[in-house]
Amino acid sequence: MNGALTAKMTRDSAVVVLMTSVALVLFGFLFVLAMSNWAQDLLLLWSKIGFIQRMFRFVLSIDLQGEVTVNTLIVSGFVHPFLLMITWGCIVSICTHFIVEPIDRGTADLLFTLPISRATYFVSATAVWVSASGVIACAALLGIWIGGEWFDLTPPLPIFRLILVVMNLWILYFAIGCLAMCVAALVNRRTQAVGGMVALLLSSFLINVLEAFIPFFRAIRFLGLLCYYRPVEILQSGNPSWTHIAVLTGIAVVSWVIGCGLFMRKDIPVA
Amino acid sequence: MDAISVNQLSKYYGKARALEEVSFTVSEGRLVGFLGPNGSGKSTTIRILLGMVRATSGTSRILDQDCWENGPSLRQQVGYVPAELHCFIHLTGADNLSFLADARGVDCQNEIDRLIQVFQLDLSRRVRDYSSGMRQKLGLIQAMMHRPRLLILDEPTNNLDPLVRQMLYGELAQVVKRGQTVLLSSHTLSELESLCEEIVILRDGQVVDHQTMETMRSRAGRKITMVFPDSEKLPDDYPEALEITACQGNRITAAWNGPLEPFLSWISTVRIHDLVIAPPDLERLFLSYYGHYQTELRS
Repeated sequence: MNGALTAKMTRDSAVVVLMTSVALVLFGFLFVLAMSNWAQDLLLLWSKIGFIQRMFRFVLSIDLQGEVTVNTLIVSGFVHPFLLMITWGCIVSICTHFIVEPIDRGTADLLFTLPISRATYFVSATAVWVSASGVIACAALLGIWIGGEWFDLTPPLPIFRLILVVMNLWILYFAIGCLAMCVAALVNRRTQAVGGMVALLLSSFLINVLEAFIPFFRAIRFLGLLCYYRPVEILQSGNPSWTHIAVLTGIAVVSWVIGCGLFMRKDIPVA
Repeated sequence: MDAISVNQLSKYYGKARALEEVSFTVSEGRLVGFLGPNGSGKSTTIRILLGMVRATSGTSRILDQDCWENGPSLRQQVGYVPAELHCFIHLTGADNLSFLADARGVDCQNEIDRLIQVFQLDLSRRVRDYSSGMRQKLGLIQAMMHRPRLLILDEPTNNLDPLVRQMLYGELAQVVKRGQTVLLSSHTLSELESLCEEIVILRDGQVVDHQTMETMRSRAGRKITMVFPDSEKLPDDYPEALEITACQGNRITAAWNGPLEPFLSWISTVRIHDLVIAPPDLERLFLSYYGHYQTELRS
């Protein structure tokens, strides 16, 4: 890794990481507030609506007919669309910023004529966004933990199990980031990279939602990244699914290696 | 040792040809011009030399090392000014230079300070507030600050006013005096004519000529104006190489190609009232290389 380059990348991404982290802490806190006040009413309401029950059973693995606690609902915040949207947006933004934006904006003529190999550049960029995704994942946990302490929940939040959930969340981010780097290495315009990743992540999200209602999507659910991220299952069992972690890690490693290979060999065009 | 050695270099983008079997060498310590119209392949050649683009075939070497295989270590000894410089606009000029020096792992503050004096650049402002000329000056400083063995300048005088151009020319003369090599790409002949010792001419992705400026000048035609004492008694035995272009009374305008000795021998045998021999007209010679290009442009 190149120290100056890594420091610059860290500075470049600091503001977006900080803003995302603050938003996640606030979101976690407010989500706990909402659930601690209205969980029972919400459960009563939702248990009467078949549509909601089906969706919860498939997407969150929560059976509203069975025993559901406030903690279970709080953990569902880890798959809340708001959380997914801003964290995915942050990671895709950082990864494409490092890999394809210099080509798009023309600063590649300065960066890639430095005595730094493209592999070193790719590794430096990876180190920065992997650290950033760790901060983001911890911020999501921090908000919920602060909320749990603030509102004195009964029973208290199982912090160890929440850490396992965050670990699974971070590995999901790892896979998304590596995919984003791979897509960014493939194209020369940032809008193309972001567009490709939005299409990919939106498809993944839709597969996860639609599988509750359309059998076809149940058959292809393995194609969606969210199939390998089940926070409520971890909360209930106390064990992460090693199969899910292995699949996400596999996706990350394969796409990182392909992305790095593409990036090392690609022609840098004039902006 | 050759500072640059390019052999049978070709580059295709799909079916589109950017370079076709380009070969030339540049010895160390020389200031070499790289001339060609837009789209002739100058920038593609330079990007291959810098390891930013992979050649389809052929070899490119800088300081006897392969440009693609040894790119990172080679680039420690190369400075580059792109045709259109895009700096980190949210940083100040000083921060841009500081980052680039740190990334190179060299302390070049003394040289930066000297170059700031030469180019008169305010480094305390953000680059987004710089004019295009100021950005170009920053590009020149970042390329020269580590005193590279090879300096590659792709149309470096874009956006520079005449005064700063003269400063750059002076600086380049110093660079060559120190033993550094300069490859100066341009589509303006006058710029290269005054600076370069030799010149590589590209057209349609191919090298059409590579000569010293001296040879180029000897090849170029000179405009000669002769005024004879009496329009009734003009010479009738002109040398074959003298191409008469106009005759007005006792004034004859002609073009002369090649060494001047035969002409001077002949003129010494005739009575003449006035004689003007202009310097070699390189512009005409270079335009002759691009005849086909100009025809295409006109059509």
